[in-house]
Amino acid sequence: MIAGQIAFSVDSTKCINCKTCEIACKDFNDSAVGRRIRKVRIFEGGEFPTVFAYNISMSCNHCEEPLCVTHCPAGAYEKRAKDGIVVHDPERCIGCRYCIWVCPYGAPQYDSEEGRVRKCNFCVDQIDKGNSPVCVTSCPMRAIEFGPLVEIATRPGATIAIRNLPSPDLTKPACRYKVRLEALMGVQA
Amino acid sequence: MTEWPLVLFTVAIQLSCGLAMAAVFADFKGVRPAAMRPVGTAIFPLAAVGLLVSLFHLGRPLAGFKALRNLGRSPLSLEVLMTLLFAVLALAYSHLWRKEIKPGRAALGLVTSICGLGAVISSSAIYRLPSQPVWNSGWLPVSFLGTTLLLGGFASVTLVKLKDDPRLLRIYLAAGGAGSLVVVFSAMWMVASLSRGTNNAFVSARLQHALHLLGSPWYSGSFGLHLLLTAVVPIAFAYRSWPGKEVSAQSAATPTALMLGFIAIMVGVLFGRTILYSLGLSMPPF
Repeated sequence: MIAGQIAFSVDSTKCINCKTCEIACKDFNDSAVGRRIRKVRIFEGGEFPTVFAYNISMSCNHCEEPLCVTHCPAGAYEKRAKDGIVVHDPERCIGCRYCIWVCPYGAPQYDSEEGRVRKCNFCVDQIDKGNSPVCVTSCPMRAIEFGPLVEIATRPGATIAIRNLPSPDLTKPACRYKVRLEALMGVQA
Repeated sequence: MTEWPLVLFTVAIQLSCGLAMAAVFADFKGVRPAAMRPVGTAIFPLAAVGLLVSLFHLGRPLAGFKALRNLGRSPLSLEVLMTLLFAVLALAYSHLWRKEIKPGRAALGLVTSICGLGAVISSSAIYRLPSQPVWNSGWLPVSFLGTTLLLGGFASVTLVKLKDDPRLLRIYLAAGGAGSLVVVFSAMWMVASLSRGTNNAFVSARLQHALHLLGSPWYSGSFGLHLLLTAVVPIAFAYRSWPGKEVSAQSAATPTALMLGFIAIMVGVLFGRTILYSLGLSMPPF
């Protein structure tokens, strides 16, 4: 793990699926229709009468072993050494969309008008100025936070092993989520 | 389906590689050059068309050369390099066939064929992704190699007049037939792979979704057509063209019939490739 790795912490138990984070992200990044750099998705499970649902707000997980960085043929992805943020350089992108196939979380989004991919850059310009990413500031439930991974990973309930999501072993995502018990991977519903 | 350039690219490169293998085999066997000339000269144009069509898949085709920037790590960079290398060698090899220059041609053909096989294998390797459970299985490289044999064998029979060399004709037909069996085997492997059980909900959801799609009328019809055209047609093709006492390529099967048969096989391959991309990308990751 990169010593200064920063990460998102999403408290799914607070999330009400209002999608304000999605809208704020789209607005800030001027994303085209259908391109969702941050997405809120609802998952359902269980059997009647013990059914359950949980919301997951997810963008790029700024993985510790990002497949987009290793697989991009144009070398458009880079994992910053100082904070572990995976940044995408649109000038280098050739629009081959291989990163979309490779990322288990669907973080890269293709913009057909620009002919290249966009993804969450953790609002690096804001971070470098000492501000917070727009999804963090916009969430009305204060469900999204960010900080050093070493601190976020030790929060009670912090996990990335979530039911219906890819195995964390694939890329070792840096972001952490707090979910209800039934939403944990491997827990019997 | 936005992956049509990849469908055409992969099929064109596999056909081109198959023809290179057929041509070099003829070279080592010492076949009359005039007979094999159409095969030898077709290798480069097919590789070039494949490469050009692949650019249409890119959002920025003019920046396509940047795909070589991550050679040490990216399987896609390796695929691009191998395909470019194959195309350059194919240009020289096709030129030698066109001008009917014999010295050094067999050796160049061997290197070209090996490079072509490298391009096909590296092309199949880019789909071995844990994030794409539908593709992440051995059936895909087997299918690519089978298609190379199938198309190379039957395209050679269609393009050349091998009346004087029934032995070579038999070898090409046998190679095409073997390719047909491999393609059908890989299709069955794909269905078995989609039906496999797993404890991982993410993987299960994608496999079940793909299997469900495959059972829908359009997909099952296309899959049936793929099997029909890549299995039944090649058998009929081989039967009609097999040189024997009573049946020979030039008497029993007319050039038009051979060409129609090959077109049918090609359509079957294209259907199979379209299914590959459609099923693989049918469910977004998140």
